Amino acid sequence: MAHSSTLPTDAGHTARVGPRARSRWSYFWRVLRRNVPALLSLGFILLLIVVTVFAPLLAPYSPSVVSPSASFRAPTWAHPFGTDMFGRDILSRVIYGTRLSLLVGVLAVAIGAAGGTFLGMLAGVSARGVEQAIMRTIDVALAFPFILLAILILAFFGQGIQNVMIAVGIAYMPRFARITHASTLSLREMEFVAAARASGAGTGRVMLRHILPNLQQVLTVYGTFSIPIAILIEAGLDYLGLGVLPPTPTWGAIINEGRQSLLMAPWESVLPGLVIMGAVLAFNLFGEAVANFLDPKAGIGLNR
Amino acid sequence: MRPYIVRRVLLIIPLIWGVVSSVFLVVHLLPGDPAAVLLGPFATSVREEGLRHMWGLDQPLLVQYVHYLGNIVVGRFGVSFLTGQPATYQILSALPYTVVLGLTALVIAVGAGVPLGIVAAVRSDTLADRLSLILSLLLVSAPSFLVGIVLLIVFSGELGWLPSIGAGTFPHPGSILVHTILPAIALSAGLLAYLTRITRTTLLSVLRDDYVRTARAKGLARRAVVYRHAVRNALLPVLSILGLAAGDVVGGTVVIETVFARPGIGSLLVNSVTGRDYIQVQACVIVLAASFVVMNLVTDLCYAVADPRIQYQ
Repeated sequence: MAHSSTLPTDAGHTARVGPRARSRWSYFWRVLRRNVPALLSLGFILLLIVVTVFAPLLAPYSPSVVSPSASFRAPTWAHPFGTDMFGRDILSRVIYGTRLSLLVGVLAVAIGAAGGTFLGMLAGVSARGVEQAIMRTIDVALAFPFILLAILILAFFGQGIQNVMIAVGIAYMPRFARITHASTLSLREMEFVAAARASGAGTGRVMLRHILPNLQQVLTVYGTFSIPIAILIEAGLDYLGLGVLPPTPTWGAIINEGRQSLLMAPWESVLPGLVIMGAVLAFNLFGEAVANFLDPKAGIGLNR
Repeated sequence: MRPYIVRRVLLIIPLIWGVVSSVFLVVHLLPGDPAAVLLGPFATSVREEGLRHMWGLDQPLLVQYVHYLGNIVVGRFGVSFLTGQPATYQILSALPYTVVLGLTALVIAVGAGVPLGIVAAVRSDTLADRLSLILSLLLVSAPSFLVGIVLLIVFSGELGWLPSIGAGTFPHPGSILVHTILPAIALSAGLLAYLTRITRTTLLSVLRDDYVRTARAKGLARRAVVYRHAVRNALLPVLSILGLAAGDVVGGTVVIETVFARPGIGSLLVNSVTGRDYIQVQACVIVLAASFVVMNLVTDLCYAVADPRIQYQ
């Protein structure tokens, strides 16, 4: 489910970290080392990244070669996740699916963060008319439940893996825009912004050099919480059969293919589903650790 | 508070207008010609022309927009390309199933999530707290369709206790109930877990407030302090989050209705998107978004009643 994280509306006005950045991250590592669930999560995320990079080497079979004689095999050592109706090895499909689902999740958040931050900052530093136009449009976009907005955008772009990524990314823009706008509102009253303006900096320069660096913290917190949600939304779209086209193996699409044979071959749905859950869990726990480190009030207490 | 309520209610009018207009915009910018899609590759251009005329697609966009707005105000969404029935009729026949599912899920999520969160906060760092943490971690991370699939396999497939698909026949409460239990649990799972965590976190921070210490110091029982003083304030943030989370429930019905092959607005939407039935897609999206807007309004109003400090600036 796409939960809206509880985020402080106020930007943490940390100055740019600069030379102290190294010590800050080594401090994060010291905190992280004592947080076993977050460490395990980091390990799982690294594993997923390794699987993403080396999918062709790690997959025991081809994800797409059909062998009708091997259809609907229950999990065995030869096929740890079983096989589907076409006799394709599900573990191999999940391994290739990891590559696609992870990339789509991360890139969608990147698209949403880039577009949303631009809109939020622009609204924050622009004249009242422009600000109103942007923010009222964003209000309308936020009136759509997340997955509904993604479905609507997908209907516009058509199916396919790139379009899923773009649709989830665009659906994320208003969320990032609202948060960065709130932070920009308090930043624009700061003296360093007035000083920059006074010394002749244009809107673009103020946004890029003075506002954006101070959004870093809020973007890191919201961004890390957004990746698992993007993965869930993408899986939901593919599960509904509205996302990628067969035979593209994403996590959601594999489960969609198992719908017709759910009670006969439950492994085709449940095992990939558990992989999604594990990935989301890992991103949630690690994200919570990052959020707690940057802003102890953020997060929903997953690490307590 | 009165002016706040009036302005908050009036505010949804431009919002709904924005929703309706952006749906029109997206649907009319869609590539592909609905007439050609419906009639298939072997249609004569004369027949396509006829269909386009019937749907008013041959008129200027602005004229179409004015017609569209006027029709929606009186509740007409046009005729479904796929079934030839009025889109409004299909919406109205699907709506009760979705409302029953959504409301049951909300009741389960609030009814179980909030008490679990209170218990976890009051008994923080006990076994109960730890169990609730693990449970909510798993549920908040599980895709809702996975929860639905597992419930389906266990309770319909293996145990055979509950029916697996459909929504029951409508006037019979018993039949509706048995068909709604599993989907409603699956739909509520994520929100339930989220509410548990939020309730625990906010209650724990409220319990550290000065007034709670004062209440304890003047000799009130711990129970009374927690339930009469602390919980009330801790529930305020929960209420405001519930309004936003309503969107997840509305969006979640789309997925869950498909898992359980239930009739409803969500599965109607999915079938219409698959069948490129844009008139029906339009109608479903508007109704779902509008219901989210209204649910948001209701929680905001509850919030205003619960917290008199709220003023409209």
